[in-house]
Amino acid sequence: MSMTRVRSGAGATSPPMEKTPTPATRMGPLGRIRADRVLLVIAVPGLLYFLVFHYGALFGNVLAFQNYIPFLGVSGSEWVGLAHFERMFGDPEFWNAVANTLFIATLQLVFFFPAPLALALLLHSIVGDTVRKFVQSVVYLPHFLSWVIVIALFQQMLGGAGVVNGWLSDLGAGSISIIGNPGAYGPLVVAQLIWKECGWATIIFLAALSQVDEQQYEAAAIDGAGWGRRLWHVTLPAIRPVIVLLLVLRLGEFLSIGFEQFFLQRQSVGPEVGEVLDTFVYYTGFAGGDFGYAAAVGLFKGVIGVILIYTANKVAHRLGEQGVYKA
Amino acid sequence: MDNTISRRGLLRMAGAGALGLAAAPLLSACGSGGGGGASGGVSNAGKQLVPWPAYVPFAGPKPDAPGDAPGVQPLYLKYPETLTQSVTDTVGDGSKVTALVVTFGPPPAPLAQNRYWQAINKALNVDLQITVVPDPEYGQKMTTLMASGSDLPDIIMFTNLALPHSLEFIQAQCADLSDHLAGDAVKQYPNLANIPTYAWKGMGRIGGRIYGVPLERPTPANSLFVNRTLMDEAGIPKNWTTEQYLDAMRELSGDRKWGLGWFKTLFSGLGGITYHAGSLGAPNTWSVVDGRFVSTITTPQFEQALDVMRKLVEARSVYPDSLTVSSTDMQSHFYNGTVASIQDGFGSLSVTNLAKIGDRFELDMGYPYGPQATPWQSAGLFGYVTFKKAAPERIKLLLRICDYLSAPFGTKEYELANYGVEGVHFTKDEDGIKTTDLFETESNLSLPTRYIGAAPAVLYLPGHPDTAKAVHEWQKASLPGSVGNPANGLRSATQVSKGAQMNQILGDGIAAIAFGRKPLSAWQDIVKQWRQAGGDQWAEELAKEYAASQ
Repeated sequence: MSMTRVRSGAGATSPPMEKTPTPATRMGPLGRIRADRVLLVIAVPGLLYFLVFHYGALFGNVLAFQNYIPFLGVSGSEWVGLAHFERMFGDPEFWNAVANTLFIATLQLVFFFPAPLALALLLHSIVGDTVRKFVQSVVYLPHFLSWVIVIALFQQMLGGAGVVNGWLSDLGAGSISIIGNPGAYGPLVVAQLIWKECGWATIIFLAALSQVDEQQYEAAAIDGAGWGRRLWHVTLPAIRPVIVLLLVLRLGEFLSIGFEQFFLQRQSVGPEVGEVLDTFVYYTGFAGGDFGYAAAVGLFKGVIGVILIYTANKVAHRLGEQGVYKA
Repeated sequence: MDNTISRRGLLRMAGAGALGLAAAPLLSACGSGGGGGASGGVSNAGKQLVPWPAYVPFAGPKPDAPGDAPGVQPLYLKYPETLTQSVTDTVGDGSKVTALVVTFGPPPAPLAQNRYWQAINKALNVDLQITVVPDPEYGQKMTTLMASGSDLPDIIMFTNLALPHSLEFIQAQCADLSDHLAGDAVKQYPNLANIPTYAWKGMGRIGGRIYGVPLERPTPANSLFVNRTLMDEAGIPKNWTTEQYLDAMRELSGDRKWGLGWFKTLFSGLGGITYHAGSLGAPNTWSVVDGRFVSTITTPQFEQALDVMRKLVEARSVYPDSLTVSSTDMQSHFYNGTVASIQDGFGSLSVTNLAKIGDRFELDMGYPYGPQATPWQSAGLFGYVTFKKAAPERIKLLLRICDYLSAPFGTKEYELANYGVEGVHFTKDEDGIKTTDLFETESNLSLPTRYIGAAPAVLYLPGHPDTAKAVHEWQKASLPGSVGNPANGLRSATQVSKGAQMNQILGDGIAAIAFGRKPLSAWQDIVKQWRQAGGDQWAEELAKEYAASQ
């Protein structure tokens, strides 16, 4: 909850979310429960959700140490200890999936992460309200399309039998191979991600931009700062906490580059470049029935995620930023 | 910010599995003595084998051209004038019967408006509730169903798709039908006794017992369907050599049209190569040499077939997005003339598909092109149905439902199951059955009763006698050299646990080489990878089972 608390300059008008316990009003635990009972009741469904679907499900990680067979259950399956992990570290297909995931994740970080920021800045600079609202709605829309549709669209356009190649052949030029070309796969999937999610991801940046104090722009303009200097000295520093926050979150999910998008396209380029960790888990676990091994890979990915988010958060603190949480 | 579903989904499923533990005591009742993991229990080697159900063929109407032993189907150009009644007893007791089956058609219209469904319910005297799973999602749905292990429907249908641990699941959760079906016991269900023995053998036993009823299919398996009209215009002969075949495909390509279309699911195993491997004389999946099992993928003929596929792609004769297109989309491309031929299951030869082609072109089957062709035979079945464990009376009821729906060509039950109600879904005239417009939305395509019980297939294509004759000719020409898969119905623990992964290795490998991402010489590495993933073990286990079954 602490994330949503906005730091306001004066603090005088903010609602008293926590009363400062003074000796006179100190309450016992029971008293506090009574005082906050409405809030507690409101929190129960969310708490239950986390207990059942997140903390409860954590016990499923026991699969990683078993030769799990679904209908024999956890108690009926053979215990194999760390065998799956040993196999994992010696499995070239696993490392191939790791390498592909890292490659695509890096491309996403370099090309996808800044894209919504740039778009948000552009949108923010549009003066006319109607025009801006219209453009905003248009760029949000692709977010609501499923990956199946987005990929079908890209195939219809860029595929070997697609529109672009149709034009090229009408013009008598040779065809270009994008879909199904292993070399073009990384840029293609990042382009798809930008097309689909860039607009939606601007929302948080736009919210942050609307918080920037207008007077600072005016002051800078009076001092003779042009567009670029205002961007550099006013806008970016003002929204830096949000950028860092999103970056930390993104790094924590670094290996989670998405599933459906890659699942749907893996076959067109083959596993050598198309297999990522999540499809690897799917093919070994669900298609291959090797749930134990798949769970081990999933657990590995989860542990890496925890380490990444912890490290990124620490680095953010070093740089004097709030980060995601303060320990 | 699309989040992954996989890792969390997996964990969630683990949770579901843990909840399913409550049902686990069921398992001990029928386990095969534990010990050595669950996979060992499905093999038949060293087990007491129950006999196959007796084969009592139905006399049936006289065909216009007879079938024969290698698998040529009896040909009917006319619909029989008099029909036999094959089921006289009441089938059901008015109770609700649930079934889960695969579907290749649109979802059925609701019961209240669906006169086909109503008629089936009335004939069977049950409240039949069918859950249909579209073919592309079938594997996923079944693995989830098996993992959850609870809330099983009465009738569960399995296709030939290799699903991990499916046999163990059947052994643990489904009814043992041996006492009802083995040997002469099957004679209580005359239409099931009319299912030829090869279909039962193709289904195979599990731990020596019979757990299912097969959905029979004729001998031709994955075949080449061709647009005869286009081929005739281009002057392409019916019988061709490898060179002529490649030339023909090149000839038919260009101007946004292609000679051949593949689709995505062909590349999750050997599906994409069967026609070529069969044409060039590669054995059907396995061959038995001195009691040892040798995989077809290790043969030089198989590599030649890969080379043909590669040349087809190189010459731009193959639909370029063949690796991403769904089977249904590719079928549409074939029906509308975008591709001139398509590799598809023989089961696609149906009146409903012929109706989609209309009079656009004449459909024909592609002849194998090699000098010593060994077209690959099917396993003799499309899949099989199993029943959730229940009291013997209930199992008998479910078997009577299968019996009814398996009634052969020439019976009243066949007519209802396959064509619906006369005057509503079809009419009859001197040419035979004529389906009405309503048949397109209400039939056993949208309500797939044909995957609960299926009659032994005959060659009868009402309204398309020329196609039927052409297919009959093709069967007579190509089936004598055809070969079966010696591993049909044999069990292997390795295949049960790793079959899907091994298939994926082959499918990925074939795609990589055909589309030029890897050189032909890389095939040996893929074979090695397949061997290490369990291929060698699989071969050994098959050899043991084979020896035990002789």
